[in-house]
Amino acid sequence: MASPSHTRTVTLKSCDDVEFVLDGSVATLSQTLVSAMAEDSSSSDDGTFTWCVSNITGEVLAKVVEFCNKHADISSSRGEDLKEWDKAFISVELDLLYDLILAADNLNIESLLDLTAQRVADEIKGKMPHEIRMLFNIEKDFTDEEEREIRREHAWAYGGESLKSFL
Amino acid sequence: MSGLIDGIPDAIALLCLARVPFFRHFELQLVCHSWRDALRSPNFLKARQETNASQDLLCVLAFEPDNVWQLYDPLMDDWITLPALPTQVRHLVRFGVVTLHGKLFVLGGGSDNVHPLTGERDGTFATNEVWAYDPLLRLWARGAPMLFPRSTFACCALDGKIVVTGGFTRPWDSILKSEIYDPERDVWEPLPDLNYTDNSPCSGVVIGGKMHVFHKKLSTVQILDDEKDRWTVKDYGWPQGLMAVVRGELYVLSNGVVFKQDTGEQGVRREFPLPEDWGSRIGFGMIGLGDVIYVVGGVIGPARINLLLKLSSDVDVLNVQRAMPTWRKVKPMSRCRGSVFGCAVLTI
Repeated sequence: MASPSHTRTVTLKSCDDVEFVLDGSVATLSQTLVSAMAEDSSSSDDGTFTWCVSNITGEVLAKVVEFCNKHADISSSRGEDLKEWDKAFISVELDLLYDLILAADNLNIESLLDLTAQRVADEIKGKMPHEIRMLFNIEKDFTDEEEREIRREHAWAYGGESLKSFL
Repeated sequence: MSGLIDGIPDAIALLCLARVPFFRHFELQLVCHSWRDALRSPNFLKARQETNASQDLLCVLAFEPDNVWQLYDPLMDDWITLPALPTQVRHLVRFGVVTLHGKLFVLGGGSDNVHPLTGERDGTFATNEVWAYDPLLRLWARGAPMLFPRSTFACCALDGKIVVTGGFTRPWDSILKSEIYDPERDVWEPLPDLNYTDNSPCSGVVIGGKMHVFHKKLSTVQILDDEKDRWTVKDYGWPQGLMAVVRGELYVLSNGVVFKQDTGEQGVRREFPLPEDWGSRIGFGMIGLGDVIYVVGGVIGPARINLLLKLSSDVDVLNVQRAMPTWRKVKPMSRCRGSVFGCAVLTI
């Protein structure tokens, strides 16, 4: 019988063999770890549990662990302070942001997935289509006719504003 | 479909796109085909719900332009215009409007069109047409017609379906018939008749999960039972006027004052006077969205110094959840103006 997850420590191992030791209560932010620990009957009276995270490097995993430690620390995780902390935490380059999204998905950490997805949305929402294409390296694949139709629809919906720099 | 965002699985990319405010979706659909397809898929509405990104938008149809609805986003304080409703009926009025499953439904109603030379009215008094606007596809589509043509009737979204009852099939010819629409199956089925009808305008409001049917000149209300097998008559003696529901509470505008209607046994009746500069504005629409009552459009005048009627596009809002609510103006409708014939709140 496995001991309750919050009393155990968890060792996370990145794909490049960097190890991080988490408190059991911190690890419960990850649904993947919670399920894995629940299924794990082998364990060990010494209360440790090791989990290898494929496809996530030590650099990214370090950020994830930093996030989990902060969010599991109830004394500091309150309202505005935490929001500010999150904002600073997520001010990263897009490449790292993508890696964090993949890690949040892999480890099923809802709050991290929310934060990273919101950051992508914020990145998108102020931009014109051509800027979004540049940002994500997307090719425009509308025909001229489609583009004319779209311009016409847009002019009607938005009263013709901001159309010039649109496509 | 090719990948939405390089380096992120599509399912997660969709969750990212879902968090962008709805009024920016037009831009997103212009990025490329795969983005457009993703934003138009039924999964997208689900993704909006799952990420708590759903927004409440105000929908308004006014006197001008003909059959053109506008949407308002309170967070962006901005309006967009929908494609014109493709009905053959000019100047559709007296219709029913509800929103359901992220779509705007416009039902029945008749024409208010007056021939500019002869002054004769267009022939259509009441239709049984049903139109549904899909904001993702930006298209109006026809639904199965109602069993009876109706004008000025009660129309509510109830338990994922649409219930209509009462109203008029011909001038002065009010009906008791009720019917219910299942949007999944696109089918209308009869419901029990109302107990009585009246030659005054009929309207419906959902309060506490129950559909209440009002007639303008009667103090009694007919309420649909939970089993939808009969209408129960109640006499609350509520004042007559425009109605709005905010957080499940009914507010009524009557004699220049908005009342919070006490629907329970007890409670403090709250009153909010209209702004002092309200003047002779009439024909506006009133609806609750979030914590706020919206008063939209209408006609102003004629005043002593100016005999012309002014078509209003103004929008005044009152946050009734505040301790000391005060009226303030938000961005006026960018295209619609004049008497408001229908308003609704669309959650998307």
